[in-house]
Amino acid sequence: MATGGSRARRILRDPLTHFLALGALGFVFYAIGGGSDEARQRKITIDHYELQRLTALWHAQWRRPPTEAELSGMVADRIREEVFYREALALNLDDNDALVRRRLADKLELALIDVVAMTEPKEGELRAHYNANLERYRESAELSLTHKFFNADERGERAAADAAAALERLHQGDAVDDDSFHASKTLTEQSSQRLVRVFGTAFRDALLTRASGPDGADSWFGPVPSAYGFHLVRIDTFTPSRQRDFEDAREQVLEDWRRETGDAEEEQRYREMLALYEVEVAPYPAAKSQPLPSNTGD
Amino acid sequence: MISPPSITVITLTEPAENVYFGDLHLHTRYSNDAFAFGTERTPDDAYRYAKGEEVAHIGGTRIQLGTPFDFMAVTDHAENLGVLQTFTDPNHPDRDHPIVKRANSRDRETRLQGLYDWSNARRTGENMELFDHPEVGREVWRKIVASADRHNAPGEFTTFAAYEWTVAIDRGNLHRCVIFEDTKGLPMPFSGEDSDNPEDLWDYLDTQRAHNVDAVAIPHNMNVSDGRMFALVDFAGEPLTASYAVQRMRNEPVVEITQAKGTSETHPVMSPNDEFADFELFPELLVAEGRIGKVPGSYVREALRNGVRLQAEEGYNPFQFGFAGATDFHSGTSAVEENNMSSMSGDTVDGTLEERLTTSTWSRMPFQGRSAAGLTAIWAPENTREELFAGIRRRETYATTGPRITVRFFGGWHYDSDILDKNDWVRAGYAGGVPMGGVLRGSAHAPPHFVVWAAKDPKGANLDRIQLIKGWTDDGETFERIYDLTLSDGREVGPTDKAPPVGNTVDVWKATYTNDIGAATLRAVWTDPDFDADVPAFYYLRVIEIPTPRWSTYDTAAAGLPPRGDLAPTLQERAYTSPIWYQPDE
Repeated sequence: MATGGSRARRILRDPLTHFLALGALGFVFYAIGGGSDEARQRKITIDHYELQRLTALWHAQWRRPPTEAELSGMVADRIREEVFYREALALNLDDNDALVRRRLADKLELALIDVVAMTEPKEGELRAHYNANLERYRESAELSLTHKFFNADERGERAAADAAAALERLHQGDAVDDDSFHASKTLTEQSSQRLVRVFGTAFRDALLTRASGPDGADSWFGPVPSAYGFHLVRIDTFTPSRQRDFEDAREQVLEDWRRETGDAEEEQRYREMLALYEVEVAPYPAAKSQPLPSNTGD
Repeated sequence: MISPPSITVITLTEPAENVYFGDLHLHTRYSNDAFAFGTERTPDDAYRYAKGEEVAHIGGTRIQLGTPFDFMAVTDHAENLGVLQTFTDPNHPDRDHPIVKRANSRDRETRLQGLYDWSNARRTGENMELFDHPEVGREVWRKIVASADRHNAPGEFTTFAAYEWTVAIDRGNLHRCVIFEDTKGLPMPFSGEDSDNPEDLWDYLDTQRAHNVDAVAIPHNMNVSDGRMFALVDFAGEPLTASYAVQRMRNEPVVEITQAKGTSETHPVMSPNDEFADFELFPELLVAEGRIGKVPGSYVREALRNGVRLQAEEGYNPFQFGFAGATDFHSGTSAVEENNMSSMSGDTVDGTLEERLTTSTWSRMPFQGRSAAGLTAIWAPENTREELFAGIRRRETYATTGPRITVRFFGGWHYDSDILDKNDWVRAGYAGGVPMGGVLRGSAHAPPHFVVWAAKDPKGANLDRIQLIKGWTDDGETFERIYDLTLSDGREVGPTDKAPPVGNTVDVWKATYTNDIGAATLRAVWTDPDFDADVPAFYYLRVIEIPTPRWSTYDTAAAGLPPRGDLAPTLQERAYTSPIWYQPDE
């Protein structure tokens, strides 16, 4: 707001902006007030908020604070801009000037973005958002496992029987002669999603069932089918899928809430604003088929 | 000019245990063309879709990726970044301008006109004040980077800040995606407005690197470059030099070999003996009214061949790159699965079944020939920005046309013939040689050994075969040869190059297939029978799936229509590994 209460006030004269300002935006313009001929007012104040802003601008560009001389230079530029700006307003140079209009629109848009970013939802709204999107705040189960592999491509129909026989030997403490595998034979703390990626859905499902059951960890079981053959598996560790509680997920819920309500609000505002207008569009001239220049993208 | 630090590619001491899949090339509403195609989605939407979340689609439907990605980069066009989408702002100062009104239309053709208006403005300068808004670009770039950071979750899902440098010379496509390793201290994108010379882009990247901001550029659509992407002269038309080669390879370690606008591997004209060369070709130059581009200089395999020739003749190789794959979709969602393709170009162009089935009035850039193609696979110890970026630098990458096929590829001077029967074969592969993307050096006169193992997408189709493509040079000429390393279903690799086809189980009316043919995994240990220790060579793998329905066949089946006559009803999806090079000692 610091680049001139006067410019912001121009926004406020616009009935559309009134609508906005009276609604969700009211507080954004808290700092602005005064009479309609304030542009002529002969006082220019660079207060400490403005100095902070100038310092921050410098910092953003140069990644260090300005020296006193640099800050003085910025202040001088700022005063110069304000003087010319007020005189220009007094001469009505802003009427229908495309550049000025665009800068105003940009400013309002940025204000809108900031409003959404700053909005604090009520606790109840946030909890409702969490409850409506529980799946999003669920952590995948994680498993560590060791497996023996019986390659269906090579063993054909014997693969399952070979695996079953090997399971007996494992239970008796004997060594088994399995096949090598294209990926690792030991997996550490892998998400259930990753198991799908490496072995397929059936394998993941079988392991989750086993891990949640009474026999759980530390004993060999199988044969478990995968996309590649049959496996004997020992689950070494298992962390079940966990619903993150609201407090744990709060930060992410807030971010999601802001993004989603922001989108919805933007659309809602547009509809409301549009309703204030009667829109009339002339028929388009027939679009001619014309060759595109290069560099169009795509 | 700050002299750039040399790039040291660190060899892993621990094997890269995991392969990660993702898309490094996708457009959202901030790309002016995508917005003109009806795309409203933001980078947040793109990342949520990539992570496997449901997102809203045209007509109140919801879409979701079948298998989530491990990483993702949104790459919007940097030229007048994000300007067209500001035209929807009801407060836009130029809201009454006819160009602004057209860009806001929900009517496809009218909205598309916004793209032509922008192009015309760029060409003539007229109305350019509507589009020339660097302040919008800065704000949008800030949003893009913030979105990438919001969705980056080390160990689970990796994002990169990225953009596309979009330049074509006389319709010859020179586009590159720029992928930043991290988001600290990022500069504004260097765009086609800054320069149309890729060597200037490399200078920019070198300068950033001197300030500890690392990035790579990934060229794409060489197939529509009209011979410019792999030309044997530099941008000014001068002969290539050693410093050109070094700078290019420092900045462009990988190229997109497959994506929506076709395959850039090779062309039947260049590879007449390659029965799999005629795959998802897209030979028409972009927006060039049907003009077909030059084949030489436009395909990867030929460039690799020229690279080893230059290595032999001049001592440098400007084309020693690995492979990436991508969608390059303009819909804000990387819907890469053939049976789950929701939109490539944008909601109003191909977002509905009806639009995809009718011959599009959108005739100036026909989309029906496009592929639901392209993912990048990266071998890495863990899923983080640092490790994935390092994997790209090492070229330990491969491309697939969409399926999550796993491929390992090692080359060395000696591997035991039974290495693949050992449980620690991966460790032995790294210990005894180099993985995909590596360079085998030596002066041995014994031929190199190669170890390969491919496994199908666990949710997908079986594999038909693994092929090895070798290219080499001799006496100023270059050569290529394709070897079938292993075939499914007991087919023997015979004395001729042509193995019998694997068969086809696709019901093109129902868009179904079965895994009754093919193999779940294929593997081989192979020794080059035609090795010549005196000349440089390259070797890369092509892993081919059994035939499955093309996305367009899933569409016709869903509509109860016969398969389309103008498009192949089935395709054999595939993976292409980065090459392993052989380079004789000096």
